[in-house]
Amino acid sequence: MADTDSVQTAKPGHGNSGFVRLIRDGHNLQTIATLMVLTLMCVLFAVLSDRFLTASNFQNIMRNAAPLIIASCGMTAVMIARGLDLSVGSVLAAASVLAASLAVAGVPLYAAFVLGILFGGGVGLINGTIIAKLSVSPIIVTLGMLNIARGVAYLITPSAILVGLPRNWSDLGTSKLAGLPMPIVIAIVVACLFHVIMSYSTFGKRIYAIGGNEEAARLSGINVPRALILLYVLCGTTAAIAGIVLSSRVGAGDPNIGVGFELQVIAAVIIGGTSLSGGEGRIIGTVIGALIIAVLGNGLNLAGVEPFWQWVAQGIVLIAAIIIDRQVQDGMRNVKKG
Amino acid sequence: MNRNVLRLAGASAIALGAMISTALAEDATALAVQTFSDEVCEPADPAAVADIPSGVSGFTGYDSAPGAWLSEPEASALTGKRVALTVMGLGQPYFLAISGHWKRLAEKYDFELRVFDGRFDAGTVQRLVDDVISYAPDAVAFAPLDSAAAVPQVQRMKNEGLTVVTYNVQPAEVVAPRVFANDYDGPRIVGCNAGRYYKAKFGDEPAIIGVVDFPQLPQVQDRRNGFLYGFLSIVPDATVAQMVDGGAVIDKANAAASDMLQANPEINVIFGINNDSSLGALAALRAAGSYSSDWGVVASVDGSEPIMSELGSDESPQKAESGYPPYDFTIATFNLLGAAVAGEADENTQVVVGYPPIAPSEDGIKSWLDRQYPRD
Repeated sequence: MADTDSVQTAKPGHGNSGFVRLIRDGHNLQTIATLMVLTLMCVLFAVLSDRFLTASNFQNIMRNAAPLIIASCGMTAVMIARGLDLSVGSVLAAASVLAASLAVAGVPLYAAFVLGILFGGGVGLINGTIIAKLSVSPIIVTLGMLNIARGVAYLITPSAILVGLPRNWSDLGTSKLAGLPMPIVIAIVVACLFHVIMSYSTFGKRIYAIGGNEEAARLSGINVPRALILLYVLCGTTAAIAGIVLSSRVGAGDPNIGVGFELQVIAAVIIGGTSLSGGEGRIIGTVIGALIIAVLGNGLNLAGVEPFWQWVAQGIVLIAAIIIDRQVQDGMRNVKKG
Repeated sequence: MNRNVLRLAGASAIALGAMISTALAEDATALAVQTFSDEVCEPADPAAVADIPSGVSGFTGYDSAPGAWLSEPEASALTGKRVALTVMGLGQPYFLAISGHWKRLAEKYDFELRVFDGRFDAGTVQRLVDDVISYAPDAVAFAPLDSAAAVPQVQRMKNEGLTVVTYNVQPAEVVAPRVFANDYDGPRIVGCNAGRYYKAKFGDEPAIIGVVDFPQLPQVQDRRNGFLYGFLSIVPDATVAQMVDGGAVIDKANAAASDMLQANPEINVIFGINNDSSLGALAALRAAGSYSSDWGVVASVDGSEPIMSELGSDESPQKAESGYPPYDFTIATFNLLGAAVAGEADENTQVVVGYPPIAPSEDGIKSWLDRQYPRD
C-alpha cells in the first residue's frame, strides 16, 4: 500500500534538486540509507584488507550471499504481509537432500532439482494453509515446520551426508554464465522477479494492503487467505531454490546445512528496511541487507579478526547498521522538509 | 589444410596436456600412499614446534586399563538389561554410525536400547539427562557435549542409582568410567602424513597453512594443535596464515574457507578439524578453480564416508586423513559398560581409543569403511 503511494509521490519536477526528489519517497530514503551503510562497511574493510576490493572477492561475496538473497526475497514478501516463516533453514536442507537423494537414485539432475523445489513449495502450501485457513500464528506453525522439515531431511539421508552424487551435481553452484557465477545469476533473476511482482503487479499491491491493514484489505475484496497461502508457497519455493544452489556449491547433500539460516534471512530483511509490523519493505532493500550480512562475514575474515571477536563484531555491526540506517533516514527527512 | 594441421596440433597438445595432468594426479595418489605411515613423527627442528600448545583434553593420561576392549565378547553383562545411549547429535555420520553399531549389539546380546539425541545443543543435552533418569535404565552410555557440564550431569545420573560410562568427550573431572581418544596424537599423525606428502610433492616450496577451525571445543583445539605439531615436525619452516571459524558444518565451513583463501591466496595447506570442515574447504577450492592435487594438500580427521571418495580420488588435494572410529568407540564403551554393571570397573577405569590414520589406497579406505561404517 505504502509502496504504491510512494510510486505516486516520487514524480519528477517541482523545481527541486534530483537528490531531494529522490528522497521524497520514504522507501528510496530507506534504501539509500541501507546502501550507505553497505558502502561504509566496504570502505572500512577495504582499509583493513588489501584483498577486499578485488574482482575475485566480489564474486566470492556474491556467491556466498546468493542463497541468502534468494531465500530473503520470499521472506520479504511474507513479512510485508505481516507474516513470518521460521522454517526456511530446514526447508532449504530438506529440499536439497531430497534433490540430492533423487539424483543419487538416478533421476535426471534437473528433474531432481525441480522436484526439490516443488517440495519447498509444498511445505509452503502446508504452512500457508494452516496459517490462513485455521488462523494459527505463523510463528507457531513455521516453528513446528522447522522441526518437521529438519527431521525429514535426516530421514531422507541414510548416512547423514549423501555420497555418490553425480559428477555434474556441482555444476549449478560452480559454473558461470556470461562470466558470472551461476548462483549469482540465479539470485539476480529471483530478486528481479520478486521486485517486479512486489512493485508492479496487482498481487504485490494486495500484499502491501494486507500488511498495512488486513481487515481493510479483506473488506476491500481481497481474498486474503488465498494471497497468504501463495506467499508461503513462494517463500518455501525460494528456500528450496536457495538450498539447491547451496548444496550444489558445497557439492554434497547434507541435512545439517542451513541451521540458523532463518535468523540470517530475517536479519537481512529487517536490515533492508522491511517493517516487522508489515506493510513496508522493498526487495532492493533486502538484497542490500543480505549483502551487508555477507560483506560483514567476509570482511571480518579477510581482516583476520579472531573468531570469537567476530561474534562480538557481527552483533555490534548489525545493531550499528540499524542505528545508522535510522539516523541517516532522519537526517534525510530533515533535508526533505527543508 | 593449414587449419587442419593446426587443429590436429591443438588437439594433440590438449590430449598430451590431459595425459600429463592425469599422470601427475595419479602420481599424487601414489605419492600419498608412499609417504603414508601410522607412526607419530618426531620434530626435525624442536624450535619449530616449541610454541604449539600441548593437549588439554586427556588430563588423566592416555593409558588404557588392561583388557580386550576392542573385541566383541562371548557374553555380556548387559544381556537382559535396559540401556540408554546418548549421542551428541544424530545428524553427523559418526554418531549415526555409533547408533547403528549399538543397535546391532542390542540385537546380538539381547538388551533393550533407547537412543537419546542431544542435537548438538547444551540445553537439549541437559533436558536429555532428565529424560534418561525418567527412563530408569540399568546402564547409561553418555556422550557429553561439554567437559565441564558433564560433571554435574553424570553425578546426577549416578545419584539416581544409574551406572554411567562416558564416551567421546572426557568430563573435566573423574566422575565415571570413560572412553575417549587421544585428540592430540591422532591428528598429529595426520600432520606427519600431510607434511611428508607435501615435502615429497612440493619440495622446498614454502608451506602456508590455513585452518578451518571450530574454536569453541577444547577437544577440537587439540586436533588443530596436534596437526600443526605433526606438520611442522616434518616441514619446520611452514607458517600459519589464518584460522577461521567454520562452525564444523559444511555450509559455514565453505563460506569461511572461501574467505580465508581470498585473504590468503598463498595458502597451500588446509587442515579441517572435521570432515565437514575439509569438505567445505574442498568446495571452496572447486569454486575458486583451484581444485587439483597440484594445488597443495588438504587434511582432516573423522574418516566419514563422504571424505573417503575425496581421499581416494586422483584429482582431489585431500591426501591425509585419520579416522575417529565409531565402531571402536562403540565396542569399547559397550565392554566398559558391561564391566561397570558387573562391578569390574570404577570411575578410575578408562579406555583410550586410537585415531587410526587411513591409508589413501583402495584397500586402506575399504578396510576402514568396512569396520567403522559398514553398509547394511
